[in-house]
Amino acid sequence: MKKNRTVPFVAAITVGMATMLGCAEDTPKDDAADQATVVWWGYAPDTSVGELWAAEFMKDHPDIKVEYTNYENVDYAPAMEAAMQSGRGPDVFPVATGGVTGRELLGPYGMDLASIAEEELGPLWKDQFGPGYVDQLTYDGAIVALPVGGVATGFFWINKDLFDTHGVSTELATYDDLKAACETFGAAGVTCLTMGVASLDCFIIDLMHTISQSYDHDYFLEAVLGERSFDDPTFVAILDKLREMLADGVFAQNVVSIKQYPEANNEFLSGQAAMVHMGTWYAQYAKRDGMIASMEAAGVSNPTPFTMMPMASPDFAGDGHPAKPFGDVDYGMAINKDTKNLEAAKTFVLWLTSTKTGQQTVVNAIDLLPALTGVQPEWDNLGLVDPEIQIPAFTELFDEGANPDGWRLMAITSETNNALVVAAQRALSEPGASTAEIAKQAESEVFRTDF
Amino acid sequence: MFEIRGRLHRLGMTVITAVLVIPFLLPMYTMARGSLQGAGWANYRAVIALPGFVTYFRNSAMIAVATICIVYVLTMMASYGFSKLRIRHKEIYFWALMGALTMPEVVLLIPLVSMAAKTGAAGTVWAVIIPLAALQIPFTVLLTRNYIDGIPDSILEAARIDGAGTIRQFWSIILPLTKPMAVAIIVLVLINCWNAYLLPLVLLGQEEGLMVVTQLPNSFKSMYNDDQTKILACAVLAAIPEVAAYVGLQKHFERGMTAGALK
Amino acid sequence: MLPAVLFSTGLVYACVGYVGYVSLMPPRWRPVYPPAVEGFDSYAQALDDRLFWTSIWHTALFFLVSYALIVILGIVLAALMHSRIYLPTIFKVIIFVPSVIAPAIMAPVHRQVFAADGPINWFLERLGLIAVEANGTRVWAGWLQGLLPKIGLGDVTPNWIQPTTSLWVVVAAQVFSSVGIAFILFFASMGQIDRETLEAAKIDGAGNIRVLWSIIVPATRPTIATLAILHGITSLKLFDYPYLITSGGPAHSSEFLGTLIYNVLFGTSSRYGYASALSVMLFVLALGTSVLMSLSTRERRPRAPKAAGRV
Repeated sequence: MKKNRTVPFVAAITVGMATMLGCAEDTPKDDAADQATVVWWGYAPDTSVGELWAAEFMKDHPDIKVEYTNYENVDYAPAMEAAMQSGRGPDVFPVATGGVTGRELLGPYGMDLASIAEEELGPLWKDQFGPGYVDQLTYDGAIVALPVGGVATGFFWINKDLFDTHGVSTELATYDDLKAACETFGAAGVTCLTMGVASLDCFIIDLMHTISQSYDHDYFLEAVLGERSFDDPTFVAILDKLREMLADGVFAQNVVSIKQYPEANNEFLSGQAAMVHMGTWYAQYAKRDGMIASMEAAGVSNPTPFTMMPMASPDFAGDGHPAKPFGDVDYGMAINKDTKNLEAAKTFVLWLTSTKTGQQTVVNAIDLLPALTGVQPEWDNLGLVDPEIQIPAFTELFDEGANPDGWRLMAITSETNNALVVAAQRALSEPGASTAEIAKQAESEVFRTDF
Repeated sequence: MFEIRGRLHRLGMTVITAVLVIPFLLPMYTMARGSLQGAGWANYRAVIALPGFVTYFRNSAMIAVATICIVYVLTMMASYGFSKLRIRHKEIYFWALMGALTMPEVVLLIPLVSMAAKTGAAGTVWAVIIPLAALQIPFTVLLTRNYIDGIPDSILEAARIDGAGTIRQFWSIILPLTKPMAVAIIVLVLINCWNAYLLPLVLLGQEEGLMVVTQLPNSFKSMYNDDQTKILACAVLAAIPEVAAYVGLQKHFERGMTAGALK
Repeated sequence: MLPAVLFSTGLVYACVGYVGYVSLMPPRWRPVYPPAVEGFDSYAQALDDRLFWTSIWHTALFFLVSYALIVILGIVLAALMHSRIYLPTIFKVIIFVPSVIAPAIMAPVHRQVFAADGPINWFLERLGLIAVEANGTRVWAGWLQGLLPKIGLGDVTPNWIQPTTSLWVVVAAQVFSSVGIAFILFFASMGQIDRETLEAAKIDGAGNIRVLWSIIVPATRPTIATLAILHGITSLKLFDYPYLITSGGPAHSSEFLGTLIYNVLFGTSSRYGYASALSVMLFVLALGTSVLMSLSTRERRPRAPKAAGRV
């Protein structure tokens, strides 16, 4: 008998609600019938950059509309998983080569682009892209994304103004030079090398890789691939080095408490830290506008941009073999297997990855190394803070990045990523645990696969 | 409670209270101060100028209103049934419902995603409203049942003698008498809906038109660079409607909670 | 009554059923793969997983400490608000407002509050408990450096989001946002205390502390018991604060079941089968704990648990 009452009740509520929601759906639906819309989601690039690329594309293709939604790195995987399962995923989306936004997770959702690329770009299409970039985007035998751009790391970025003010040489050849520089900066109240390992980002892995190259050039990649183990004296030596860096004041005490983004990044960009270990993507902050915006975001009022320069890694092991930039494809653009806009999606992905105009637009953000060989950033028009010294240094860096000394994330699964970050966290914050034990634990947690 | 003699003593006790609430103020202060660093008030202007700024609030409000309605109607009926009607295995139903109280949202993610996909609710606000309501009903029933337990059976008995059926008793006795409870339900459900983060994040995504207020700070978190100052400005703005609602309803809310908690 | 029961339990138990089904698939199963029921591999793996047990241990610690703090603060503040202090309404709002604000909104703030150069350390520095070195490193003041190792706190440094203290940062954040509701409940329940009993006690010469302990606390016992159940459930369900403040780290030092499940699902290669097994275990734990707790409170009280708190 209660049910009798329920029906009109619920009905009334439902009708009321439907009316309300109906009113709310007043978003303009004025898309002309002949204009295809490509929905693009991504953890990269940033919203403003993505919108710029979309706008440039629409200039060339006025009949296609591209809508970009940016997700935070850590929210990207859950959002994609949920959307793809319910069939409302985007038409195009980025897939990284490794890590938590990598092909291991997203590969199954992308269609095989090999035949499309071959048809459009000819049989030798793979050679038009950067070294190995295409192969780094395969999943289960299929090429699930076309390269948008590459990345290289294995060096430091320095705040040249701080180095000059405190009379520190901008060439630190050995670990002892680095340590001495840090003593100078420390005495002046400047953080030396800002680093944050509080979240499971890959940045500390980059630094471990840099250190590793100095001890044993091939070790790190061999361990990642399973040819050698992380339960190995070289990895123990890397962990010991991290501890030494903390004890020597190279790292600040809060290294395990802060995240690389936003905290360490903000510390560097607000001029409170002299160095940061980041990759080629950091070049974007050398632009005057980008730097001012970033400094304000870091809480600096009326910021004055400083000169940012890349600096080769010191020789950590002291045996004459400092690391050289290593890297791989940063990410590629994939097309949803179930897309209903295949033609438009194809046009956009090919424009972004394989046309001169598209790639020029991409690389002018100086966030990515060019994916298409032969394209270079238009350095003179980018508004760098100090073009005279930055342009030669950046050009050289981008050239080196185009011929990387080994991969960065390509073979690192998300579990390996997490195991290595936790190993670094433990080394830096559990003085009671031996580095040998930490290395052993890391080896037990990594996961290797050949995709 | 505490005996307070004289003005000085009273002042002393107030100072003790003030010291005890400092930890509550510290984060508020940090939040407000941080939101004004860097570009200053321009941080707030940048947040308000976000495309779709109003949409965040409208979606959250819509979800909250719909959830409140569903929760209110179902809670009242269920609590009335549990408290005053003779129904077989009533206690078993009650404990089954209380079991649902223990369900962590994280656990629900996998099945909700697939259910939303199958029912076509995915990508609509219903994908969030329904689980949010379902998750809150057990608690509101717990409160309201206690409250209705306190309504003397004799009142209902008298109504029955006058010829009022069950529905009539519910409509003209229970509903008017539970008004204080209604405010408590509104405030509690509002807080939980407004604050929901995980369910909207996964089930709605951030597509055009479907963001909620807890995602406001995400507009200033980007791949490389979190704008800390504007994130905090977002935090302040997102909190204002809730704080205002609470302050406005404070008296009634306390009365409802008191009534639900004890008689 | 039926619609509510069906609606709520229907959805929740349908979910449990589905999760139970997925938990029988291989640990690495994902919805993009065809279904393949395999057995209890994921459960065996969970029982063998160091992190699973660590998370349970953290949950227990978290519950005990945060519950004690919430009850003590709730009672003391409620008793103070019932006394004739100045500006009670303002204090009430200050205490309750934190419970109104979303953890997602507060988390970045807590990160700053507990930062090495944040307001907590600023206070401690002003109090002379910590010193700041030239390069910005915060260290304990000289006398504390000698004392802390002696009381077993040698690993604690004034840098809070690190393995020895990250769990307590999460506790502090949760207490901050849970005291409000506890306070309201205690405030409500104290309103029922018979004025005459209080007066009589005072005439007998009982001081304020004595009144608090022997009259107020016993009178609010039902609320204390209800809070135990509600906070127990909150602790088992904990996700927002540890995820958003510490990401469960560093080095898993603030890992809870909620963050662990989320990480298995979305942080590390989408192991749906394994995450589902963990979820089933969490649900069983939560249900078991709350039944046990209600049974123990029921012995003292004839009816279903009274009253409330936010969940």
